[in-house]
Amino acid sequence: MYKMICQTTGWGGQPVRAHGGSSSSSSPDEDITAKLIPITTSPRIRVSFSASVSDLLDWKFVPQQREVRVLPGETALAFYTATNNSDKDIIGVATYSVTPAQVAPYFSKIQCFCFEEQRLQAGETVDMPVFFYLDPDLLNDLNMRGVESVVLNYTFFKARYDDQK
Amino acid sequence: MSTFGSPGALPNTKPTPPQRGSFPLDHDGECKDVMMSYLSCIKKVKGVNQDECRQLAKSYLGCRMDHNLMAKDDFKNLGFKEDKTPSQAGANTNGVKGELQW
Repeated sequence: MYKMICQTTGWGGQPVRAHGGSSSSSSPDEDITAKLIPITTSPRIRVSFSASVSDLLDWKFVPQQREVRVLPGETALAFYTATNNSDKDIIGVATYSVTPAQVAPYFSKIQCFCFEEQRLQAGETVDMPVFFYLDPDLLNDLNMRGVESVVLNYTFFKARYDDQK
Repeated sequence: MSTFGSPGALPNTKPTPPQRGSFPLDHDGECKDVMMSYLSCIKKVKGVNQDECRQLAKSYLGCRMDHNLMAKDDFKNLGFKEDKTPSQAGANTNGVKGELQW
């Protein structure tokens, strides 16, 4: 599972989970549910949304809300909408980035539309949700002091082998 | 790779896959109405992710579950408090059930 791989290798040697890896003690579900408690003593953090599309992909792809303001630990839903403006079915694949960089380890996506190929028929429009939360551990990270805004960007690319279609 | 030696070196932001994978696309727009309600709510409150809109988010995810567009799960595992639906108009407040004092 991706989660186990990411927990062991992490980024540049740093574990993905900011706090100690207690992955053996409780089930992963319990670990995550424990993080899903909104920290009401924290100010809300603004998460704004941007979208881009590779030049090779004839899709329109936009966020459906300018921003959401979330508490750490509070799950939130956001939407993007994609339209295939071409006359052919196209398969796209999205990746994302989070800025500023120090937020990235705390940006936890429960479910979204990234990494898997998404096929849109010619002319089709479809809504793409992202369900996420900011890990409350960010409140213990000195690098996160003063971070009030986060930008989530998704970029859609054409799936490489789709050229023949 | 040497850094400046600061304890909190900026991590490389390698994207990670989502915990529960990818949402199937709602090609037929089965949950579009709930989505539109949610988006109107968010616009109205200028993005503040509080109860009113979160209830709609919960409904949207519930819609997806009902239409096989999302694996069914307890809402508390998705960060939503369980609703203890309050009883109607104080019916149970005194615990004397079944006794109608006219």
